[in-house]
Amino acid sequence: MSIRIVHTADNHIGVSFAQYPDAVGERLREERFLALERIVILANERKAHFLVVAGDLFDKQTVTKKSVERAADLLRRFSGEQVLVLAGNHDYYEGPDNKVWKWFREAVQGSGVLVLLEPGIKRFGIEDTEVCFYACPCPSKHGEKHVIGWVTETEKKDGTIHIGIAHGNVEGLGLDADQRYFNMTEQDLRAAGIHTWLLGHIHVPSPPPGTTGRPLFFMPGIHTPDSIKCTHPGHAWWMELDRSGGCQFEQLKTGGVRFVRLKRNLADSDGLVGLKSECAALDGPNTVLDIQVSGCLKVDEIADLRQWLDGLKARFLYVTSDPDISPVLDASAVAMKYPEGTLPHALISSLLADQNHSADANLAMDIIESLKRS
Amino acid sequence: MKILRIHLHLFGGATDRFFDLSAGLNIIEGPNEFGKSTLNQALWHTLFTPTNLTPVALRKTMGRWFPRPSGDHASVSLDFEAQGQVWSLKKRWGIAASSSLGSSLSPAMADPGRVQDRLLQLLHRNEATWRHVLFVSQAQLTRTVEDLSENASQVEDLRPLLAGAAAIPGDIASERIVAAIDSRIEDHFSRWDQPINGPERGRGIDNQWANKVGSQLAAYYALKTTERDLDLVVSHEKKVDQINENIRQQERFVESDRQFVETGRPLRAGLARRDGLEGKIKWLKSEQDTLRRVFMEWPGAVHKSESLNSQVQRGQEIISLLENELGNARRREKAADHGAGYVRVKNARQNLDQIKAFIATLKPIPSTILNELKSLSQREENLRVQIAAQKLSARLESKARVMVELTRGAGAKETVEVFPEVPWTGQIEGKLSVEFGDLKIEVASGTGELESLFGELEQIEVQHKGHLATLGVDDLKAAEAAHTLHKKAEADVTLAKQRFVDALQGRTEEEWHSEVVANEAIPQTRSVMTLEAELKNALTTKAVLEAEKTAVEIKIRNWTDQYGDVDKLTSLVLKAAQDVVEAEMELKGLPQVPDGFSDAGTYLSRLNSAETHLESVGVKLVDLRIQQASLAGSTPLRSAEELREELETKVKAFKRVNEIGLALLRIKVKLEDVLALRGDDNPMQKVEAAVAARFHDLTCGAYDRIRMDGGAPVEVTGKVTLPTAMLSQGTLGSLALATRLCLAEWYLEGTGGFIVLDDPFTDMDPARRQAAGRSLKDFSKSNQVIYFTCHPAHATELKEFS
Repeated sequence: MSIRIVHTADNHIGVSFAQYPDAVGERLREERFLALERIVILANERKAHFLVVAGDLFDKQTVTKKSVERAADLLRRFSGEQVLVLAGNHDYYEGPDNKVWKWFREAVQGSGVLVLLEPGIKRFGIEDTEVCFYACPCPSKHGEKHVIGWVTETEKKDGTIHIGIAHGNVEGLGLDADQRYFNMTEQDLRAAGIHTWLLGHIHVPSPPPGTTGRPLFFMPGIHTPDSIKCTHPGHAWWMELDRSGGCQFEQLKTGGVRFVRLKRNLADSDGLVGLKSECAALDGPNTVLDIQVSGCLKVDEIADLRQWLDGLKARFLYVTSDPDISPVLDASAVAMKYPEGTLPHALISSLLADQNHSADANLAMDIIESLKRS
Repeated sequence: MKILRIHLHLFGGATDRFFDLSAGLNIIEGPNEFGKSTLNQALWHTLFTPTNLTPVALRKTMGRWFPRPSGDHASVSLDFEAQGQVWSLKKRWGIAASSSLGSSLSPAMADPGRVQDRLLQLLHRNEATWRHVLFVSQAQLTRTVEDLSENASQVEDLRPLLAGAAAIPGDIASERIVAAIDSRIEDHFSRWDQPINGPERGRGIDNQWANKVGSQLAAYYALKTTERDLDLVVSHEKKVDQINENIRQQERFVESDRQFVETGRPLRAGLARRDGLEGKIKWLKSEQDTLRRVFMEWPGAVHKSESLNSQVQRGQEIISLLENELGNARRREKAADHGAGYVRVKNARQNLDQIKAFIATLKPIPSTILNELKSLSQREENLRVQIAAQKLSARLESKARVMVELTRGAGAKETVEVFPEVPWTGQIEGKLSVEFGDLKIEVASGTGELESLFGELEQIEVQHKGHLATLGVDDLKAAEAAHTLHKKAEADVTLAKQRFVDALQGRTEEEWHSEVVANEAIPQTRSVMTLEAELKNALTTKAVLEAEKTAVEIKIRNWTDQYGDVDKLTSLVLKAAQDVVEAEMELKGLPQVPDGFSDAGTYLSRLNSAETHLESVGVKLVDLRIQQASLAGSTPLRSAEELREELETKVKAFKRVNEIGLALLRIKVKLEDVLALRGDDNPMQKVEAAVAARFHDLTCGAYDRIRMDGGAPVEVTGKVTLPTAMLSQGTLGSLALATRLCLAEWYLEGTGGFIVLDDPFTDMDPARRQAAGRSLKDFSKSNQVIYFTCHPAHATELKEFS
C-alpha cells in the first residue's frame, strides 16, 4: 500500500500586488485562490490521501479574515484523508494570540484540515500503512537556526512511512546569505532519518526535472507566479510513497498566470520582428509582461515599436515597458535631419564623435526636437 | 540637378500623367485639386523615399499615395540632368517595389540602397536641406497663413510663429539651445549639490525640499524613501521576531515551573500537613531517642559515679605512698651530694698538704739579688757590645809550622797553630796579644778607654759569679727559674687553701664527717625520676577520674532536675513511643512526597518558588504581549520582499537619471566647444546680408536691413526698425520668401539645383508681388524654379516676367 500526497507551499495568499492597477492587482490576488483551488481539484482527482501545505499559505500576518476564511473553505473541499497546513515564515505562529491562525482554525473546525503550528508528530493509518508526519513550523519570520533538530532525536518505528514537513531555506538551493530563514543543510535533512521532507520557502521547484529515486526533499515552488522573478508556471508535487522506500513523483502545473520579462537589445527590424513573434506566442490575457528593450532603431522602426507596445496593452493582462531605444543616429542620419552648417548639425555630429558617450547625441537631439516643437 | 520630366504612372489620383520642365522658372498653374500637391509629393518621394520600406513605414509614408480604394502600389519616373548627364530614375513602392537609376553614361542600378546613395550624391545637399529649404510645400505655407490668421489679434504672442515662418529652417539659435540645455540641467539638478553628489544643504528624505525638486533629487528621494521604508519594515520584522523570541524564551523558561505548579498545587495541603507531621515525628523520635538514652544511661551512671568515687579514693592513697617514697628518695639524693662534698673537702685538704710539703723543699731566691743579677748581666752585655764595636782583623803567617799563644780581647789565652802557606786570620775584640816563644806582641784598638771597659767587665763578672754562688745557681736563667718555681708554689698553696675553705662551705671537716655518718640511716628507695613519673601518672588518673565523676554526677543531677527520677522517666519514654506511632499512622494517609524530593518541605519550597517565578514571568509576558500587539497594530502594509523589489526598480531609475544628468553636462560642454569653434566662420551669418538685400527688393525698398537671431529674422529696419512680430502678413510673406530664396542660393550655389514653391505670393499686394516676381525671375536665371499656384493672375504676372 502506498500513500498519495499532493504537496504545495508558498501560496502567499494576501500578497497585495499594490504596484499594479486595481483591476490587475485584483486579478493577481484572485489568482492566488484560483491556483489553490486547482490544487485541491487535482488532489481530489488523483485521490490523494494527503494535501500538504508546507508553509506560507498566507503572505503576511495582516492578511484579512475574509482571505483566511476563503482559503480555509477551499482546503475544506479536499476529499482525501487530511489536509496538513504548516505555519511558514510569512505566516509564522508565535502563540495562541495569532489572529491569522485563530481565524483559520475556526474556519476549518470540524473538517479534515489540520493546522500544524507546534512541532510534533501526527500519525495516520491508511489501510495497513502507518504514516508519521513530523511537523516543524516556523515560530517567527526569521530564524538563525532551523527547527528540524528534534526530528533527528525522535525514535522512529520500522514499517512506518516517516515524512517531515518544514519551511525554510535549503543551503545551496536558495539564497540566504545571512542565514536568516531557518537555513537547513542537506546533512541536517538527511540526519533526521526519515523517508523524505516536504518543504516550503524557496519559490523554485526541487528536485529538478529528470530526478529519479526518492529525493531527500521536495520543494514545490510557488503554486502560481507572483512576480517577474518567477520564471516557472507554478507547481505542486504529486507523489506516492510506500513503506519500502519506493517513491514516484510528478510535477503538477497549477499556475494560471505568468510573469514574463523580455529583455532584448534591438539593432534592426529583424529583432523587432522576433520580439513580436515571442509575444504573439504568449497567453496575453493571463500574462503580466515586462518588455525591456534597448538599442538603436530607425525612426520609423521606433514609431512601429511604440505603436506595437501600445497595442500590447489591450492583449495582455498587464504590460510594462520602458524602452531604452534611440534612433539610429550616425552622420548620415544627422545629415538627413539637420542642414549642414546649422548648430544642431554641428552639435550632434560633435557628440557622435565621442565614441564613449555617443548616446549623448540622442539626448541632445531630443532637446533640439523639443525646441523645434515649442 | 535640373528636373526634365516627371511621369506619375500611378500616384495618388494621378495615372500616367507627366510634366515636362525646363531650366529657369516653371509655373504649374491650376485650381485646387488640380494635383499640384500630388505632383509636389511625387517629386519628393521619388527623390527621397526608398522603395525597400518596412510594411509599417510603407503604409505610413506611401500608403496615402496608393490609388483608392484598393491600390497596392505607386509608381513614378523622373528624368533629370546632373553632373552633365541626363539621368532616368524610376521607383515603384508597394507590391513589386523596385528602384532604378541610370544615365546615358552610367549603367542602371536597381538596389534601392545604392540608388538612394547615388541620388544623394547627385542632389548635393542632404535630405533635411531639401526638406526645409528647397521644398516649400503649399501645406507648409497654408499652415503658416492659418496660424497667422488665428492669432492676428495677439501680435505679441505671434513671435514664435513668425519666427517659424521666417526662420532658417532646421537651424536654431545658439542662445535657445544653450538656454534649453541649461534649463534641462537646471531642471535635472535642481536642489542637487553636484560636488557632494547629494541634496542641497544635505536635506534628505526627512527634511525634503518641497519646491523646485529636480529629476535627480526626485529619483534620489524616491530611492531613499523606499530604502527607508524597507529599513522600517525590516526593523519592524526584526522587532516582531525579537518580541516573539522573547515571549517564547520566557514561556520556555517557565514551562517546567508551570508543569510543576499544575502538578503540585493539588498536593499542597496534604504535603503541608505532611511537612508539619514529618517535622513533628522527627522531633518526637528525637525526643524518644533522648528519653530512651537517658533511661538506658541513668542506672549505669549511678553505678559509675560510685565506682569512680572509690577509684578516686584509691588513687589518693597511691599518691600518698608515692609522695612519701619520693621524699626519702630526694633525701637520699641529698645525702649522696653531701658525701661527694665531704670527698671534695678531704681531697682539698690533702692537696693543700702536698703543696705545702713541696714548697718546703724549695730554696727561696730573694728578689733583690735576682734583680741585681739581672742588672749586672745587662751591664755586662753592654760592655761586650762596646768592646765588640772595636774589632781588629789579625793575620798570622809563618814559613814554618809554629804554635803561638794569643789572647783575644778580654778572653782567655789560646794556642793557635800556624802552617806555612796557611796564614791564620781572625777577628778580635779590642785587643790582641800574641806570644811566640819570647816574643809577645800586644795590639790594642783605639785609646785607653778600652782598658776601662775590660776592667769594668771583669768586675762585673766577679760580682756576677758571687751572686750566683750565693744563690747556689749556675747562671741568671737558673736563678730566674728557681725564683719562678718558688713563686708558683706559693700561689698553689694559696689556691689549695682557698679550695679547701670552699669545700668546707662554712663547716668544719668534722661536721662533714658526722653528717655523712648520719645519712647512712636513710632507707633505700627507687629513683626520684621513676617516682616522680609514677606520681604524675597517679595524679593525672585521679584528675580524670574526678572529672569523669563530676560529669556523671552533673548528668545525674540534670536528669534528676529534668525528669525527677527513673520511674517518672519510664513513663515519659512510653508516652513518646505512643506519640510517634500515632503521628506515623496519620502520615500514611497523606500524599507521598514526589520523586526527587527528600521531604515535603523541600517540595513545597520548590512549589512556592515556582509559583513566584511564574508570577513574575507572567508580568513580563503581559508586557511583552502588549508590545507584540502594538507591533502587530503597526504592521506595514507592504512586506520587505515587495519593497526590495521596488527598491531594485528605484535603484535602476536613479542610475538612469544620474546617467542622463551626466550626459546633459557633457552636452553642455560640447555645445560650448562647438560654439567656440563656430565663431565668425558661421556660414549662416553670411545669409543675413543676402536675406536683407533680397528683402529690400521684395519690399520695394521699404526695408534694407534685418537682424537675425540664429536662423530666424527677428528685426527688420527700413525707415523704422520693427520686430518681425510687428510686420504685416504680406511683409512677413516677403521676408519668408526672401529667406528661402537666399538659403536656396546658398545651398544650390555651383550645383545647379531647383527649388519648389507652392503659392508663396498669396498674401502679397500687387506691388510686392511684382517685386517678388522680379526676384524670382532673377533667381531662376541660375536655378530651376518649380512654382505651383492656383492663382491665374499670379501665374500670368510671373509668365510676363519670365
